Amino acid sequence: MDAEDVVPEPDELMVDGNAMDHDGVADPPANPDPDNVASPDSSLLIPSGPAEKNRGLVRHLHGISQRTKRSSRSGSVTGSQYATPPQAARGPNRLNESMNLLSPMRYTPGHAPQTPNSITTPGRRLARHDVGDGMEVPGHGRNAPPANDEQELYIWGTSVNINQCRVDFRHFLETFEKGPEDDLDDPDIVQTQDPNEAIATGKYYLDVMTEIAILEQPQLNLNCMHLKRYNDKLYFQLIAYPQEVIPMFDIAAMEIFNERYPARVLPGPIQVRPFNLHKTSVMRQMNPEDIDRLVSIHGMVIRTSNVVPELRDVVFMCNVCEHRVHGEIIRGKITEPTVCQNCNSTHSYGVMHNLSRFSDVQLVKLQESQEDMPPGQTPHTILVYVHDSLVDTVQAGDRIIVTGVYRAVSIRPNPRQQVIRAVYKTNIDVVHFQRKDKRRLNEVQEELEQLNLSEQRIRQIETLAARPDAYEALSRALAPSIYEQDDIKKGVLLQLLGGSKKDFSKVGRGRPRCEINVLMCGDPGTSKSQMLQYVHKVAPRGQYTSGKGSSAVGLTAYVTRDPDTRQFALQSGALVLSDNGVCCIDEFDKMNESTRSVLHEVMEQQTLSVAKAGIICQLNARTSILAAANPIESQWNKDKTIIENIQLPHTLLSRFDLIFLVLDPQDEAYDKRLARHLVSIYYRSQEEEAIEEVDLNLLKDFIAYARHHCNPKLDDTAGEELVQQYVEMRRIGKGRGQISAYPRQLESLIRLSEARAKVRLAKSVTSEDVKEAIRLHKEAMKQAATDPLSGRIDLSILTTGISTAARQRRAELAAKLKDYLQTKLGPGTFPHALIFDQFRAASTLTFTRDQFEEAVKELGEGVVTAVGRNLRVS
Amino acid sequence: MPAPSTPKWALDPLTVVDGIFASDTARFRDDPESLRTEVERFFQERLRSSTFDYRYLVPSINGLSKDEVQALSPNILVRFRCMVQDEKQMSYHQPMLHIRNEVSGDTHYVCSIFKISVPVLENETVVGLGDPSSLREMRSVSCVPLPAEAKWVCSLNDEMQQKTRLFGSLLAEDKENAVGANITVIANLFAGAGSAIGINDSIELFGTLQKSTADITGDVDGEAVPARDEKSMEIRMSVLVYEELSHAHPALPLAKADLSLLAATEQSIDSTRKLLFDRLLRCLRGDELSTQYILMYLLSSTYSWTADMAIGNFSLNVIDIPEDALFLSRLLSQVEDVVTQLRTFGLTVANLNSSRMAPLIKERQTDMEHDLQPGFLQLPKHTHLVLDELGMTTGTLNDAGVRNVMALQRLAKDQELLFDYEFGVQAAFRMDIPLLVLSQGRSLVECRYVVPLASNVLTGADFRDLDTLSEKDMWRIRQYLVMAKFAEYEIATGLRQAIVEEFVETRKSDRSLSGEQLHNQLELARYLCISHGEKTLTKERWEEAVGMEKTRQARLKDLAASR
Repeated sequence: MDAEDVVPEPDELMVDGNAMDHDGVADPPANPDPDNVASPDSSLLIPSGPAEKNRGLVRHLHGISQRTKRSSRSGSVTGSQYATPPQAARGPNRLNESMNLLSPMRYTPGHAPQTPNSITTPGRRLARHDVGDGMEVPGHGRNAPPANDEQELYIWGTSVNINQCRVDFRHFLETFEKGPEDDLDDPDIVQTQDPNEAIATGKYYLDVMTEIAILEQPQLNLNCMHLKRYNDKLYFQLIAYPQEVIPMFDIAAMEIFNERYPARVLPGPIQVRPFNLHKTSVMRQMNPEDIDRLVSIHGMVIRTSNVVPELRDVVFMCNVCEHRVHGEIIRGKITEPTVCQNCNSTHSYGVMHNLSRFSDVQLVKLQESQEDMPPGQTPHTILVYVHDSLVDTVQAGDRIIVTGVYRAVSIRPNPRQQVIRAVYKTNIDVVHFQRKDKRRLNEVQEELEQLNLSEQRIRQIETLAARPDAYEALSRALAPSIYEQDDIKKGVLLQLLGGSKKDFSKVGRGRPRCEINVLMCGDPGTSKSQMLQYVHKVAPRGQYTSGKGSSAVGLTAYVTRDPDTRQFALQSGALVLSDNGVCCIDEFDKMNESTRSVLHEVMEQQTLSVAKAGIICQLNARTSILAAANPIESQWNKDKTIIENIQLPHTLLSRFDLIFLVLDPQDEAYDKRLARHLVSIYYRSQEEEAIEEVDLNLLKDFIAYARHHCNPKLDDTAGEELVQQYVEMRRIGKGRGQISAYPRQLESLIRLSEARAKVRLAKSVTSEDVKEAIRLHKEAMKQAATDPLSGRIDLSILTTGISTAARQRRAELAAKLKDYLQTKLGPGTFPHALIFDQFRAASTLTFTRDQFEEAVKELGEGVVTAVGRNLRVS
Repeated sequence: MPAPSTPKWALDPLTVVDGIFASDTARFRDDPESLRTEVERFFQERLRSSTFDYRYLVPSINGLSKDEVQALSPNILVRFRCMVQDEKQMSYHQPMLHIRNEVSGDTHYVCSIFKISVPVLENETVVGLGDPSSLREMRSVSCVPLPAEAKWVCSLNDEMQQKTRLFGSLLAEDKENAVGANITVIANLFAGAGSAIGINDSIELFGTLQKSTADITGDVDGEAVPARDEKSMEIRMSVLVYEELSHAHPALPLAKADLSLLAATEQSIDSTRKLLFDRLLRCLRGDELSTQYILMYLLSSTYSWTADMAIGNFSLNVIDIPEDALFLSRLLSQVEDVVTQLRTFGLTVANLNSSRMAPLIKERQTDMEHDLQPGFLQLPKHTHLVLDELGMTTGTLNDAGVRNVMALQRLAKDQELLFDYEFGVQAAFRMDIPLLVLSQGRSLVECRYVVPLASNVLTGADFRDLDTLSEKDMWRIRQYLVMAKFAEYEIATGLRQAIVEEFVETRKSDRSLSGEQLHNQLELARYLCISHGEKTLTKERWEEAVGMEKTRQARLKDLAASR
């Protein structure tokens, strides 16, 4: 590579004199030939002397050998970028190299004009402004001006000086410091660098440079929010003219890098990859004004094409004299020269495949997210062109945010045909991918649902939250066609909002659940199912299943064989699909045992383990469960405990934060409101839709917004309040010989108070929230955990299946029985029925045969043993 | 009436467009939307007048095979009655081209709206080609002929077309195969047109056919074409003007206002109702109650949705249907004779397992486009669906079968259909497909109204002496059913309060009356009222409806007791 040192770069034509001064190297003479500079599409094509021919080839060869290491750089048209040896890092050369740093969007082999001298430096271009593939742009509005004076290069039709952009960006990179607010709005990006690396210069992007130097990964992810805060004007220039501005950014980044790490070799030029624009566009709202601007769009990848090698640079060799010629790719086509320039033989050229260069291109189809789809419309899709190092970074099924240049591309089948095609297809040339969900197990950071709420909407939401009656208004808006039962609605609202996310895994206590589970049980026909259906519609990622129709496999995951590829694939069931959402299970009581056992893991650990057909994995199922159950006798038996009424295992039951007993509200006012509502549907004119205070969509947005933005913490008074209330609950219970609260209930209370605080979009949980949580908890439990015998709240019904009172009575009975057996009967074997009758007659207690059996069991082997139909008393 | 000859505007519509453009170039060149509106106005005026429907002057491509369509001249105006099946990827279109002659330096504007490509001379170039500010959105939707049109609608259509005898010159005479080949037309709508068109809408398109050559397929390099023969055969149409078909009756006006005019002249709604009622009664062996319900079903249409209810949905399940093939076929033929669109489905295990109810949208393997695999339930509004569960046996439903039952269930309950996209994405579409299930016991598909058929065989007259109705009567019945879908309705103010109070009172003593039942009563009362041509619910009608519901409930109870 000595040649690099000795032979001066031919393409010394600088765009920017300042940069060269900076490097302290004299400017090479500006290109005197205006024809080359002022080419129609203003590609600054640098002529090289004939002497450079050989060197050019050497460099190409070098480039190819480098290619084996990594895929080719996008837009890199000469091989030199691959082979910048340390010693070749002289200022002007460096600068020159960086001038080639074309951003990923610049993959299109443009129609650079053929100049006789351009053979060895093909495709050296500065920012070019074509609208798209193969489109002729005569006199197109954004072409760079035919500038003879390189000092003053403006973007056509604007006062944007691109050199100024470069200088400004340099300044930004060198001085930007990350403020505390950056951590807040910094989305979790797909980072190649380790953010924890301790290279503290304090200047964020200089640290990034260091990482680039260490990792040799020349990608600089530029958080546009940083840029916007630092230099608003520059940010908007980037948005408006990305094709001109991004290459300037690349140059600036490379300059800084070379100054700071002159000895480092990078596999390619640094590419600046902007992301996190101030707004994410919705696919269906894109319009022609967005064309050629930097946009960011979110959606789901539904398809990726094969990676296609795109011919970037072609070399022909004359079979007669071995003369080599470079071919220019014009609109995706290359014309093979017919006559050899050297020996004049005709049709003697052949393509040298191993000297020609290719780059990777992939087409990705993006479909808009379900949240953006208005009802009654098909999802929109858009094609995304992916280049080089971004190829194969996303797979079908990923939810991503794409930042790139929106383009409209005309279809032109035959350039010779004199037909103007008036139709333009759109696509996006991607510069940055950002994955929305990383789907890592037990990750605390919730995947960022990119919320697409307008400023106005957010204001609306905040106004709503500020209202003193926000809690009531929101809960009323939930299932407006169900009347009364306000506490259930409030409970469900809190469930939808969820508790705050916490992570104690670092201190070894794992990740406590923040999802709230709610069970409704009660008489049939009390709109439990309606509530479920409604929640299913409102909840983000709600799933609805019926216990009767669900199998364990349907809830968890099952393995199928793809008919096309014959590969096994894991199909997610309802619980996995409602990860981070709400899973509504109707007819919970009719679910069979094996299915229900699956829920144990989900409802506390929030994961699902699957081991089937060679696939063993643990899936996230951070889902809230809203279940509805009917009493076993179809009507609620008030003389029985809840366990007896719904026959659910208490281990499962105790995992519900709120258990509501839904009884038919025997209320005249309720009937009246219901009837009024139904009648009103029929006399209201068709257009006049129900104008609810808070409509469904606002409720939806509110829930999404609160879940996303709000993570309230308990403040001191609230903590105090909780402790007190909990102690109180336990104390009250104890005083009457019952236990009314367990630690699990304390956790529930915390979750509920946090959710209550989210209604106000508050940052901290106040004692008011705690009080409401406790009220709701009591209200729900009062109905659900009332011991039918004592009429008191008793949570041991939920945790052990029988009430403390019942247990006490059983113990009492057993003691009496023991006393009776040992004093009155003495050791020996007696018929079962006889003991029962005699004991009943002798005892002051009243009991049933079942209770007698239980007492016998409780006494156990030490006292009495059942032998066939007899009991042996020892 | 003398058969009008093909007017010039139908033979060469694009020249008309150019004419309109030339009339005010200065205005239109910057405002293609107003040009489009102007063009729409021009053609709408010519297609209809108060006295005569000139639509039939325009040749229809319904029922033609693909080859026949391709043989048509690309420049003439054609029409296509269709349902919007799917939406294609949106693209941009430049409706005006500013052309400069390189030799003389002269510039002029060419109108390229409604055109995919415009030829220019050798020495001409376009100024500002592809300039974002000059681009307009172009919507592309794929359309299929209206599915499930009743036979009489098809023949009426043909008849009206024949009247004009226009096709003699343009098409071969063999229009006998009315079934027709099912063509798919990709309709391009320019300059913001058709933003109101939604999936499953019935529309009639008027436009020019685009030459179907490979160069329109959208390939950037025109070389990948051979692999896509099928696609290059797609018929593409540039739509000049379209009409939304608010109903599928070919001979009635589309606008609601015109329909109500017709209603005003129609004196004898009650007698028409009686005519239809008697015929249905005979088919149903003299059971008046189920006849009433089936009549309501024929009138019904879902017109509004609240947060969790489809209003107007009248899904009906008639049970205890005798196992008599004749009974069923007679009833169905009666229904088909009067409704505009009818589709039937044999609800058996085999059918459920092998069919697809909801459309499935899949990515094509060969290119970056998607395909819609049609679903049985993707039907335009007002299509009556009859499920015949009599052939149902015990058996195992496979995955597809379960999905199909769920789709039917959702339709019966919410009038919604979920389109399946890849990766579990589903899009819900609101439908308006009245559903009737005929079964022996309660159907698998749960319906709002379940009516057991009473077995009191009509004494004296039964369905055997159903005579064919006169053309005029038939016409009246058909018109009656179409107009009923647009009828206005309200509840008298006093009655509203009375209904509420009655409900509260009843609930005091009888807790079994639920809100759902009140809803059913109200729905039934509405249709009962409309069926008699009344606009306001009266006390008598309300009591009649309540009585009907009571009888129905009693019958269900009896049935449960007897089993």
